[in-house]
Amino acid sequence: MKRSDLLSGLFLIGFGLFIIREASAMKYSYVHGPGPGFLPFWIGVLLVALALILATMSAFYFYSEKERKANRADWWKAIRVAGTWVAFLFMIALADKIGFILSFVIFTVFLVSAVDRRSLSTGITVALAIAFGFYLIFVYAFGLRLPVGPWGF
Amino acid sequence: METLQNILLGFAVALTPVNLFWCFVGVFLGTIVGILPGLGTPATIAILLPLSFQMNPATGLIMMAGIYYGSKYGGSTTSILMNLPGETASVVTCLDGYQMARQGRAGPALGIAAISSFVAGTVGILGLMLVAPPLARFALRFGPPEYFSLMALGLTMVIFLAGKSMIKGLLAALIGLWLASIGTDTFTAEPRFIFGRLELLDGVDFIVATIGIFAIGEVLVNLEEKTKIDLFKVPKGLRNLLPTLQDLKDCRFAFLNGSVVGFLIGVMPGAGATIASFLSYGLEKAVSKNPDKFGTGAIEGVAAPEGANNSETGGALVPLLTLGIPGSNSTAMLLAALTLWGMKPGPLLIQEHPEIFWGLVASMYVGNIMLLILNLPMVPLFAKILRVPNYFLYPVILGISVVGVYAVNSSMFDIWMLALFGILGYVMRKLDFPAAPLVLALVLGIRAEETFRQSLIMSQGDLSVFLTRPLSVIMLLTAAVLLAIPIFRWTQAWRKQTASEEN
Repeated sequence: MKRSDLLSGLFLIGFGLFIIREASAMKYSYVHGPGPGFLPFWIGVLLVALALILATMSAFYFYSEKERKANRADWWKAIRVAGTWVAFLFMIALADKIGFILSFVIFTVFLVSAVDRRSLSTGITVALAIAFGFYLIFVYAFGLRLPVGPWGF
Repeated sequence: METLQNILLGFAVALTPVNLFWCFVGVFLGTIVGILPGLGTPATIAILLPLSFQMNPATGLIMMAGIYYGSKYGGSTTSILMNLPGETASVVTCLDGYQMARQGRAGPALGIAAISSFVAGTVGILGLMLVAPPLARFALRFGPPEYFSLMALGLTMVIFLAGKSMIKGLLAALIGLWLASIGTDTFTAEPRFIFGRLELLDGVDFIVATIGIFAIGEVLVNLEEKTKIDLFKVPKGLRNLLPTLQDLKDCRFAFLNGSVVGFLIGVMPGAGATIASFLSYGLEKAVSKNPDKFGTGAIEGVAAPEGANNSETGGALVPLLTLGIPGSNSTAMLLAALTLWGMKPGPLLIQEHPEIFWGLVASMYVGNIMLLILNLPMVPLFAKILRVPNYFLYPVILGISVVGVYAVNSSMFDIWMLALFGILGYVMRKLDFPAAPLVLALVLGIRAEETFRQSLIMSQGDLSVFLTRPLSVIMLLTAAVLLAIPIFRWTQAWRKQTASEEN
């Protein structure tokens, strides 16, 4: 059994049912032709049907030994990705409060030093260099407006 | 003879030092804009509009158009080197261009993109010059049923972009269609799937979805393998960075395909360069002797969409300059510029201001040569981006993505959406769901639904409207033939397998 396909199939069945439910609350058709609920309804139906096929097919899939080894969960990798994504979310949240440039510097220091395991000094240097470059190109040269903090940048 | 006289007049305008200078400024800026993801051509034209008011209208239009077609050249660079499409039309270039870069063939990928862009771009200008009026009349005959059939034809490309699993490809396309349905329904003004967020009333921004799925998703996947890719291998020497004769030979059909498909799609208002690049890629794969190569670094997979993307420019200018119909955001900005300069874009433009129309046509020939010179010798320079260590490159990609997305609407909500699409892109890769069908369906979905509903309103609910109009029938038949190709291939493979088992 291919567990990833089974899980994604089951998730998509649920998602398809959600779309059908939402679409049912919209008007399916008018006098001449489809209404706003027409397309979403059929998207939901097809999603459920295809996801069902995917989930069923996953039950008849047999892993080779090589695939079994390759698919073994590596939690360290998952933590690295999850950590980066959460840090990215923090950067977005902070950009509104302290400005994009500063929040980007903090995010980059984390990415270089914690995720990529470089020294803190490398992290700070890289972060400041990129942030300065961004400021120069986007804010100064192109005149783009980025979220600013209480310090004006 | 008349055309020759007109084009000579055009060159007399385009080759003045002032126009040559602004043409160069335009194409150079366009290349930079194309390279920077999210910083779109319409936004750049809008920013520079006040500056161009000081110019003669012909000079201003030459520069603005330079930005427009120059960005098409630049868009491929980040697609190939970073899997980050600089322009939406370069999304499909990521599929094979990035794979080529990963295999150490970034140079030939960039080289073929420039050459194909030049060839197809030049064909597009020829088309604009020679067949503009009759083709524009032809495109005007398109009603909603023809447009729906065109969209249906575009959606069949999903089968060529599905990768290993057709079911996963179709599921990804359905998610793309669902994303396209988010926002206000154009016919009833009823909101759909907005989850209480007013920002979603305008729908899901294509740029946000694309950059999130492709760029952020790619960075997250690569972060997993900390030690695996620290530096890409870049071939040394200009000779190794340019496409080989074999590469050029392999791309013969791709040049032709890109030129013709791009131009024809460009003429149809609303179709756009993204559809042109997807269609030419799908067509290239459909006729290829080795369709399995596509998605793994096939050079034709770079040449065809890049060609189509550039040839589309010439096509898109046809309805703009002869009928005053803009087919895209960029041409809409050019229309605004022409109007602000006091011109009346339409059938009389060529008659009343021949120096503007023919000057622009001639400047595009000059600009394309400038772009080829700019882009080919700079291939090693662009390829050097690959030497940058990942711990420097990834923050740059993430930062540019955020800045690019924020620059479009100055909306923090878009940045949150970017993060959401980023994790979606990562999960899709991990679960072997192809991203390209989702993006294709997102692009075509809105227009497909609109034209389908318009057609049925027009025919009072009679579905035969799609089968009684010749152009619509031709396109639907082509879609049916394309859909039959994988079934034919499966049957053949199954027959071979059965025969070998019997033996």
